[in-house]
Amino acid sequence: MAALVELTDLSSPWRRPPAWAAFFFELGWRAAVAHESGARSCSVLVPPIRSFAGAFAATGAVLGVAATAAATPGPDAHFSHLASLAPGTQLVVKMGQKIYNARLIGPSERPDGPCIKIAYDNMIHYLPKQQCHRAQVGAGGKRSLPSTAPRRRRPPVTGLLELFLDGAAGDFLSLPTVDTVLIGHASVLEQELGGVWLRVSGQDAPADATPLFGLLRASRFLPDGGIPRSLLLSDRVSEFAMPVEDTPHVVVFDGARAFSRYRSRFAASSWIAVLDRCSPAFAEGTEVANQEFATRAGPARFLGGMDAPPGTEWQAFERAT
Amino acid sequence: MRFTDLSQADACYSVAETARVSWREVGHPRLESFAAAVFKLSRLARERGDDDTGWREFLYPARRARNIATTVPLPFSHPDLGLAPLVTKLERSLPALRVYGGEDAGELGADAVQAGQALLVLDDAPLADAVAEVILPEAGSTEQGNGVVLPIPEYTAAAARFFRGSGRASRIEVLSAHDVAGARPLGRLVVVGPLYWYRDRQYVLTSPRAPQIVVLKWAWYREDMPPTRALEGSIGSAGIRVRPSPMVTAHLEVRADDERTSIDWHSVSEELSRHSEADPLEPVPARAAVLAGRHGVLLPEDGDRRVWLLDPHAPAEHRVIAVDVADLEPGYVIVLRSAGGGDLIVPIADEILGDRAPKLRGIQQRWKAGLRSWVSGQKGLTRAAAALRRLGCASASFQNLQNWLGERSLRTEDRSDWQVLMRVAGLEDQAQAIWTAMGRLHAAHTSAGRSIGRRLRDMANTQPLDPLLTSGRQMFELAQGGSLTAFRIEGFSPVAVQCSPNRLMVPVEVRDEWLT
Repeated sequence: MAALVELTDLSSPWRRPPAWAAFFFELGWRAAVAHESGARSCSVLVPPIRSFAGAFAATGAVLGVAATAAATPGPDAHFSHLASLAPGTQLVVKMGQKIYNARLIGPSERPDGPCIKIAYDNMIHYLPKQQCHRAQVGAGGKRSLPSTAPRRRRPPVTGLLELFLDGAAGDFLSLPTVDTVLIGHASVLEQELGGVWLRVSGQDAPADATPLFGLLRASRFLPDGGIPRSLLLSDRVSEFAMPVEDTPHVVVFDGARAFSRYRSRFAASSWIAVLDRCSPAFAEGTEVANQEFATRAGPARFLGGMDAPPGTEWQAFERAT
Repeated sequence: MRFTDLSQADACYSVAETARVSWREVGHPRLESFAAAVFKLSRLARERGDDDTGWREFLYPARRARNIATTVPLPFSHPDLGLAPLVTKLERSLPALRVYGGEDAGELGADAVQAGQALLVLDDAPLADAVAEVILPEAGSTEQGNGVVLPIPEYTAAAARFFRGSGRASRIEVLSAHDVAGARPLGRLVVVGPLYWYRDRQYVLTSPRAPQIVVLKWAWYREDMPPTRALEGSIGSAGIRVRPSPMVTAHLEVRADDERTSIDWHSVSEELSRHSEADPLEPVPARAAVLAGRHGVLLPEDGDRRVWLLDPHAPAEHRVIAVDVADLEPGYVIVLRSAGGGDLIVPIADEILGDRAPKLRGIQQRWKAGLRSWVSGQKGLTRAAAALRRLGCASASFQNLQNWLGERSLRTEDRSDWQVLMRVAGLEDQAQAIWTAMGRLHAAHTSAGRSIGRRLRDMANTQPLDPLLTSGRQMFELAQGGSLTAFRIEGFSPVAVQCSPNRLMVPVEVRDEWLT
């Protein structure tokens, strides 16, 4: 990341990302890629200052998933999957550039072939088999949409997305998922995600720059019907709903409070926890981390070559299943 | 948690790369004599397992005096230090100590009084001298400036005034441990020890905010090395390089384990929850919290646990929010009424009512006083509620009666229940007039409830919050003469107590000897 992009906080000139920021981005990316390969990891970090660490890690995780998550079944397999679900199953359905919550009614035979009958937005809709990729239920972060599905109009892709995602950039803006969850002090995280802008090194066209939240694509930063890739959660809420039924690849806990309260809600995901020494909850956070460490399955194997930033404690391991 | 910008985050990582901790020993023979007398007395009390009133009345102010004299960089005779009243208190409590503790305790107490009096005649300020000596040799050589961290936050403003006025180290920032968490990196940071004060705030050293950290260490303390790892199997570490702590050179040697620095929660909770015989309300569970400015408050464990949180660093639209008390942590700022009951709705409603408020409140107090007087003759709320039901007040129950006696409730929902209440309160002939008056109050309460968040946000967004940031406490005047106060929470009691509902959310000044 450090060599490819530049960043600014809008009060200073564009520059290469500092090493610590690149580290957290890389950590998120690698944890997501490792999760896609079946490694359920936990990284706990205690940096000299908490700020921006979770934001960069979560952004890295979102892009890491998007760049590497496996494309899955073709139209026939996806149609069969949907047809096997119980009537009433919640779906998300993408129509044009918007997504809607929908309800499965069931498979149906029409004169032009087999269809999936769904209800959304007070309408009944018949999705022909060849277009059934528009309807999706979460499936552990795996794509349930065929990579060969036809797409007519793609949203504009910035140079940054092309840089990070290459051929997967189109899917990134088309497929609603929750690959990553970022949990912490929401108003502070919003400021951090909006306060740092990135662009491809040397490209100074204003349209090519984006704030971190443009890459994170959490639903709260998107207009109605925008395609989310992540969820930003306040560590104060007791209940929340996922915009898309999904099992996130990576959950980033920004602070001890988020880690100790919410980790059990995301047991199937990989975890990155950023603990703040200055927080009164720090001791509780380290206690939780050390308990998880005590029951680890083994060392984390995806971190080769990474060095922790100065003054940062870093505990990384694969979690027991 | 507060927002810090990218450049500040960057600077913190740079500082962490090079941070070094060194020590500077401070000595003062007379203060050492005083500290020795207090320490020996503490040890004697511990050996005897004696903690009765006679001991505490002497020992607690003695420890407080020792703690402020050894941690606040002010001259011993400085009025802001408050040493003189504590020494006077010791002098007064000495006879009781002799009675309760015996002759040997009395002798040590007399030594402490004598040594304390000897300090008061001195203008010496050994800590301030040490701070100035650490800072001065290179003053101006660092663009980032210098800071000093005090373990007892309430003295930061007084120390800053002293440094500014004395001309020595006048450009130094005086910080509490809370302030360090959000501070922009400095060139040099002086940390006033002993380090056991920072047991729960190790970040003062381990998340360094200056490349050079100098710990002021009293000659008679043996300091332990601060831990640099909290995570088992950690790949990295806090990264600070700590020079070995100097050997103890004084006659007296005290270690962190020998000291009591925690708040005496038993005494604080007792003081806050003291039950009045005249209070007919049944006790409810609550937890004591110590607030900045030597205040304490009881926070509810059950029922309505909403409290208003003020985050001075949050964006304007999020600066004041309602949270459950279970979500509070030390360092957070809560808004409470400065005086009277704990309900914020009341002063806001009074502001809405304007000139009509005093008369209506008078009527409210009158019927509640009448009801309270009747209840006190009924041998408990349960019996009183049963008696009311027999008289025709169908909704009378233990809980409802508790509510009617409380400040928030204005009248019953049912008119026939109201007639019964007025009858027992001796106000039957005014039942209609009081019902109407309470209706006006009810409308104001409803309006206040709807607008309280916005009003508090307006208040916090339109006034400078410097006093709050500096001292942890700030008062906001209301148009109708009342006031609200924002307090920083310093800590929570580990145990809950029972108290009257009237005591909840009411900030009370706490005797300072319980606090350190």
